Amino acid sequence: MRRFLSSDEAQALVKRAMGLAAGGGSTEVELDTSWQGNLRWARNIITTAGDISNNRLEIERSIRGASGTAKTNQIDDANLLAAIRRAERLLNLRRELPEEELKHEFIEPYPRPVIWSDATYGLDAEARATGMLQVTQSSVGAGVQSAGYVQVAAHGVATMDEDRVWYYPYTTAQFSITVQDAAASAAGWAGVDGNDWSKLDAAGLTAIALDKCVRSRNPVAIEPGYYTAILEPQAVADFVSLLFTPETLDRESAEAGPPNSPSDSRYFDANLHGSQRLLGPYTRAIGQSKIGERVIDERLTVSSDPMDPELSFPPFHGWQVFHPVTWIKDGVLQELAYARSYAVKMLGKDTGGLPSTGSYRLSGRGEAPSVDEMIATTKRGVLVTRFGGVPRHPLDVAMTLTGYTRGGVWLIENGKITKPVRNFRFTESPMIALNKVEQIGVPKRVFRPKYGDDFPEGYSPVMVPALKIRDFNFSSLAESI
Amino acid sequence: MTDRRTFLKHGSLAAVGLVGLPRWMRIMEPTSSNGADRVRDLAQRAIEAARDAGATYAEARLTRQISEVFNGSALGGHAEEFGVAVRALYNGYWGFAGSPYWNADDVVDQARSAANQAKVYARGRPHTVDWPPIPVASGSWSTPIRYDPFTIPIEEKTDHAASWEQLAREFHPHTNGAMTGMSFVRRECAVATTEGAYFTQTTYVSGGRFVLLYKPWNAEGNLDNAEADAQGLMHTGAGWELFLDAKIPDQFPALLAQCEAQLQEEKSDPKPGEVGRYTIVCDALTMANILVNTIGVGTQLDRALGYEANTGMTSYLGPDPMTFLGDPIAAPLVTVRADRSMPRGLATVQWDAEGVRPEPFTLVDKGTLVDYQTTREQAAWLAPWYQKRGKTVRSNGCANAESGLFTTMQHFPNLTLEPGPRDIDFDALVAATPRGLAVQHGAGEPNFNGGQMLLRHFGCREIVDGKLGRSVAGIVPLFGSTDFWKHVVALGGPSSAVQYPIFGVDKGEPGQATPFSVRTVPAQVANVAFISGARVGK
Repeated sequence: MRRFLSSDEAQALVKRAMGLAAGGGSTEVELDTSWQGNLRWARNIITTAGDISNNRLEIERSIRGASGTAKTNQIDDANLLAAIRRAERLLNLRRELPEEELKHEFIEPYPRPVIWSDATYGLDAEARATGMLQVTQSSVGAGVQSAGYVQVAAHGVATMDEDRVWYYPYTTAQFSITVQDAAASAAGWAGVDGNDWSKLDAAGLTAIALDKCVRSRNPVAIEPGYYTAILEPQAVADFVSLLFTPETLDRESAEAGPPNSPSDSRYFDANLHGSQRLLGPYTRAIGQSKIGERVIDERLTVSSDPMDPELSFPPFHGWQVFHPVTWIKDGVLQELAYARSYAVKMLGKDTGGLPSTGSYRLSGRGEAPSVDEMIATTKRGVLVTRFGGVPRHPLDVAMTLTGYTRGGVWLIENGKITKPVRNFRFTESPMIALNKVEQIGVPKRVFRPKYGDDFPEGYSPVMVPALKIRDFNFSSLAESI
Repeated sequence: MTDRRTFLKHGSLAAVGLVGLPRWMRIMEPTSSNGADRVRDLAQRAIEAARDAGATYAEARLTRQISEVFNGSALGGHAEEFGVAVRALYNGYWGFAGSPYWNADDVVDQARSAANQAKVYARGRPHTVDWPPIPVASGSWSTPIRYDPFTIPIEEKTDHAASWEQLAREFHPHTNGAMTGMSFVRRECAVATTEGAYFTQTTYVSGGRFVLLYKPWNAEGNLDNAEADAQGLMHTGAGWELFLDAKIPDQFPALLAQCEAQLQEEKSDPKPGEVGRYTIVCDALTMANILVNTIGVGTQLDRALGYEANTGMTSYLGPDPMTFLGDPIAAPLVTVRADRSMPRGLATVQWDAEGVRPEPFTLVDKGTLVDYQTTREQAAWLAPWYQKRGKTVRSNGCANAESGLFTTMQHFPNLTLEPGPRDIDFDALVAATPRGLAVQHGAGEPNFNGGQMLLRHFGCREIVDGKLGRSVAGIVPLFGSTDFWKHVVALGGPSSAVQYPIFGVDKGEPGQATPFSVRTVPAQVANVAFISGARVGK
């Protein structure tokens, strides 16, 4: 079965597409060609497994600033031609731009991170089966029910026009497992993602999930309220990642505030907030962001770098190159993301933009205690494995979020875990919580494939430490496991 | 003389649009050589290859989806996606392969891959899949529509939206234009199975939004800002006629009145709500969101049994469905039906992805749980229950997939909360409530496994002596599903029913979602707990 297009095949494809475009103007093609192998199991039985390949092409035809785009996943001449004609038809609806507003791409070299793994690409159905049959067997042996998922994928992302072809291949791998006892009254979870399957310890993660399930049996209900919370790295990522999405980090949004006119295209945004634009967590006032201000604990730094060996991601999207950026240093907001048009208009710099991918490393300075050491120094608190049900949109400017604990939650008393407790719903702002940090652990790669492995919309690897946070608001009990 | 704008105003452009334009503008069909014979041939080759590779059952789905999105007169985009999906069964294990390649060599390779995967996994613990026989599906079906939106020139569609916006600007000195959104989807699907089935289906989804913007100057010399959504454009199984029939300009007076009422309401400070239990009156939209996220999600059989434990959560009506079937989970006046035949329903089909011709079924009968949403494989899991009730063990026809790049699994059918016996509406329910709260356009955050739901996005007004009073703020409802449904006191009647589109609830790994419709009525519900909004960030 065909997997994904190589660099040479992608180049040949774009050459054909360029040849089909006629009538002047320019043509730009973005491509994500991919293969994915997956395996899913539940109740200790493999329920589905498969291989999926796809080619997502976005073709843009532009003439004097008016542009039209069409998407297709077909690469034969007839369908390429149809997509090009559609794009041309659509550009006729757009107005042309005066000369001074015409877009000129800023082309700069991009870095070359190592994000390809032969081990990942080589994990075929046979290899997936061998590993996972052992996992399901161990669950059977332990008298528990496990459900889990393995996915390996290879992508080639490319941006191409008449003059150049940028192509970058990358692989992703993920493993996650939930173990429940026979009565479905206790659960344990473990999972991680990465680029290299050989570095994922499926057996170790299975053992963690099993152990968490066993230790979660017979949970007791404790009063909701404000507790010192020790969030394992997965829980931290589930909780704080909304602060570092491309939308939240967008400088123009942070400065613009509400729309100035109904013609502001962002005004018509059919999200849960209705059409009124919200001020963001990095907004000081309309027209002013919080750059230069301390926004979170002064020991915390937030950065992203495609060359970070533990957190690599493809180095470009479109013609936008991803640079190493320190968004927040020692708690102070240093940078917000912007497009090239913003750089030219607002910063007076004829450079590329400063894009964000949603991928980030949250790190602390000073001592980096382990979770066990955090527990040992906690008089009374709650240990959380992960959160579920966290919405993708916050309710208010303070970024208040709600969700519930999952996969194992325990009460800590006098420096020790004393009992499993029933799950909580939490109501807390990550921005406020990151100002109530008591201890910061060592950053670890967590499980972040929630929205898929397509870059940059879904694939946003994250490294975060465990955090001990005081006065965390566990607002009510959640009747779930 | 009737000019173009007058035509638009009265929603009568259909004939003019189709007849008055040259053919090259009328058709924007992708160039494709995928004739019916070739599609059938590819599907047949796939299942034969899977059978030759050892599959005891296989199905091949060839899909093509085209979509257009418009924001007013500025186009959002056009997309086309092809898919070939082959699912193969061997000794109780499934294998799957999906790709965009519609050609003979690729579909054969793909089918072998699916069958070989199933064989590899079948080395695991012995497992059986009960696969009850069904009538062999054959034929073609399409969503009943008047105008395929993809045969309407894009210029006509954007003109239509632009004319509404222009008319809105001219309607009143302070109507500051409008925003129109339009989207169209056509899904074509051909399915062949090793049991001899071959059928094709084409489904359509059309819908959008028209928002009137109202910006009068206030007494302080500042611009006020209000907006109101027009009716008739919710996404539904329809064609271009949805936009022709919406009569948007006729709604301007009512939309303006809504805007004015909205500004009036904003001038009065909301009343701080008190934590406690209330009798509430929910509008149909609130009931739709609650129904989907409680009974709807809860009755997905695979979710109940733990198949979603590693991702979107299991169901509060599990892990052993047999212990819930026959139990009351709602008040006796609550009946919830499911079907894939609802007129204009987004999940409406003639056959599901496994070739089952779905029949309407009841999930909750007068408050009692009597069934779950099932596929062919899953129906057998409830065999003892069906046999006890003297019913045939058969799938409820809920097999579906997001596209030809996803495997088949159980997905939502259309859902209906049956209306109450008296033909009363939201206002009548309010009038019948001496003291309570009215909850409108409510949505929130469910906890499927715990069966709890927290409403965070909603409008709330007090009800005093059967009349709507001031807005109430600072409190939010948090309830358990069964407790909520058991306290339903009254339901709106047939004429208060509204059909809403739901674009899916994520399920499976890799995650997929399929659209469906839910038809609900307003309801009066007693004893609903409201907690402090400060505890949940509101």
